[in-house]
Amino acid sequence: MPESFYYILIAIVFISIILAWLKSETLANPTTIYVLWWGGFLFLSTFDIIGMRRPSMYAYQLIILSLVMFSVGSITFLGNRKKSLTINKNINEHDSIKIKLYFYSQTIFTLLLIFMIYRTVGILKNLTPGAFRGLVYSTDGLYGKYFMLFAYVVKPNLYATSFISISGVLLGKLPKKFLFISFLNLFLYSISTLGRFPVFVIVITLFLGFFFLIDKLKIKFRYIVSILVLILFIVSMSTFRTSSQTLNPFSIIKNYFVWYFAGPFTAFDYFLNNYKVGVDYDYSYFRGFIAGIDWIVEIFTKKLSLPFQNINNSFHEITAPFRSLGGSATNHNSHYTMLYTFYRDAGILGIAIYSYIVGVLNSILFNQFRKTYSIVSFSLLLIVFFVSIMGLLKWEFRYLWSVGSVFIILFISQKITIRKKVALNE
Amino acid sequence: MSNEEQKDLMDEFNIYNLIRNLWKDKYQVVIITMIFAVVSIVYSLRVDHLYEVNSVIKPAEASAETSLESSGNLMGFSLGGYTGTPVINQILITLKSNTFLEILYKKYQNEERLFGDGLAELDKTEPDKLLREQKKYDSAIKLLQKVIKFAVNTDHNTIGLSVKLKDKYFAYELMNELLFSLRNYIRKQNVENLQSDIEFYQDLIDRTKDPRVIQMLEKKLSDKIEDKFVLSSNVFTVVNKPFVPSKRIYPKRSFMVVMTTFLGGLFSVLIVSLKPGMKKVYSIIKE
Repeated sequence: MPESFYYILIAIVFISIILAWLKSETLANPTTIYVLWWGGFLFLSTFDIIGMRRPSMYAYQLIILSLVMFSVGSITFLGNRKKSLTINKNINEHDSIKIKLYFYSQTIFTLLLIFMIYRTVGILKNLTPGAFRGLVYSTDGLYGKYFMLFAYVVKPNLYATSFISISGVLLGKLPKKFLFISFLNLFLYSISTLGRFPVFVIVITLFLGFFFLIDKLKIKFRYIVSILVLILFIVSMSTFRTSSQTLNPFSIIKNYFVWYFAGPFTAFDYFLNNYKVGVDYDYSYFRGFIAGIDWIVEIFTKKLSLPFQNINNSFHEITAPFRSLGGSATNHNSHYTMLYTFYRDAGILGIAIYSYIVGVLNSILFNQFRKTYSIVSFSLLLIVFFVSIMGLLKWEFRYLWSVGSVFIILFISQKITIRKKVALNE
Repeated sequence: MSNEEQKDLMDEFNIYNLIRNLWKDKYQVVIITMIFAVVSIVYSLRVDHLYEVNSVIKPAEASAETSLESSGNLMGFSLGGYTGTPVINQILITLKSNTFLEILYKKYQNEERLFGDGLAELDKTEPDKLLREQKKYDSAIKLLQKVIKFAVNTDHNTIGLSVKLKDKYFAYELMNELLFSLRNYIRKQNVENLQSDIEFYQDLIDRTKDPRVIQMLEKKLSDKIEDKFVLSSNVFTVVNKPFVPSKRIYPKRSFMVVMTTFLGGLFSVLIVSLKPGMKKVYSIIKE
């Protein structure tokens, strides 16, 4: 790896952090954590820690371009904080009843998920955990005839509820019991599907929540312990899924960390090397960027028997096969970074423009959050920023859960349940 | 407008502030964008043209690395790593190795179409012969690593090779030489390795008296001899033969200019948006 790459990377990270701090007057802004997160894993990917193939220089150039464009977009639109706001923790009675109704209605999903765990245990008697995971998202698998209900209603609701509850509790507007309800459901969902992602969402979102409110919250020891327990849960789930008794948790964490977060760069490079536009695929011009909406459109077009091709199908054709990335990353699929989606949408221009848009979007939501400290603005910031940093793995707005969660937060939470006002300190 | 409101409009970000600042500093925006555009035009006109010659090779056998076992976990991950010495892996290691690139260096060390005048420069600037040779070797290997690129396709068990140079005819020649040298190098290595294995088994057979053990060892020996025959006759097949390209791959002038001008526009907006913050910092420093 040329030394100049490291100098450029370090320069981009530091200049971005300084400029973002200059504009926002705080280090707890989206640009800082984004460049550190992406830059850190980019740095890690240049070493052959688990023997994975190193991405080509061309892939690195595109990733650096994306990082720069995100920074340019986010710093341009970052606002500073003129007034010191305090968080108004009161919610009017009308909204309070609606929030309670919304959260207590989640117990219906709790019952559904308990039923699903019962089914999971039954299936696992005849299948290995690995084979079970392959069947989870098929209509013949765990969900059977309930597949649509879970994909379109339950899953987005679980995530939306967790984002709302984390925002509300961290802002001190909602009682902690709501956090318990949403986390319980996500845990049940995680166990029923043997998935780690739901718990991962909790860990990252909590971390981001603390980060954005770092000047308003005191980090307590029990918070750190709670996050460590969640990480332990993810590691245990991984051990169970690989049915491995010989590997120690440290080697799993090491492999996870490096493979899951640096592997997508190698996978993206694989895509660049082996798939050519006009031959293997055509540009999808913005459809990939908002492909989560295709899932919703698909329902109606199917009902009306209209010819409609969900763009995600052609995206999955490339990312679905299990491929070796070298070393211990022997069966990698799905995670090709968000740049894969951007590149398939509009090539290099797509990477530049979409990364810029993502940066702008994060800053606008961050400004809105600092202006209002409302649950809605915080929830939207958390979900969009979560998707942005998880773009290291893949573009989550191609999936229904993220688009569905945003819709739920916007249309249910804001318009019906938790509309509220924030008072100024002075 | 009260003083407080005026201050708000200056400090807090909103899109109207940005548009207003952009309009106020419109000449700066245009100048910065134009600088980007002009630089990109000049660069794209002056930069050397690059041509790329490609080839795809298919190794003689599917390897443990490239063919995933069907019994592997579908959604989790296994931590098996490499098993045996896969052919694809061996080719990749060879392509990365200095020992192999040295073969090309020795053949083309006086070739300006490959090394330019960089190596010849060292003859003039470095008086110490030993140090000069070491420096020339290092520079040549670095340059070869830059010129020769390769990528694995695990779906089809193939390796794509590419050579990028200013001279398209020489790029074609180098690619053919690369394929020839690669085949010979790996063949030689395989045969040498297997020869030592064969000698080892032969020695074991000579020293063993038990007929069952001898039978087992003879089976192993015959497998090794068969492998030796296969690997010495067919290391890889050239699926996609190299050809002289008609078009350059770099620079793509129109794309370069449009992209750079567009990025310049976005950078100029960033610079304009940073001005109030910069002024603030400047006034703090001044105070």
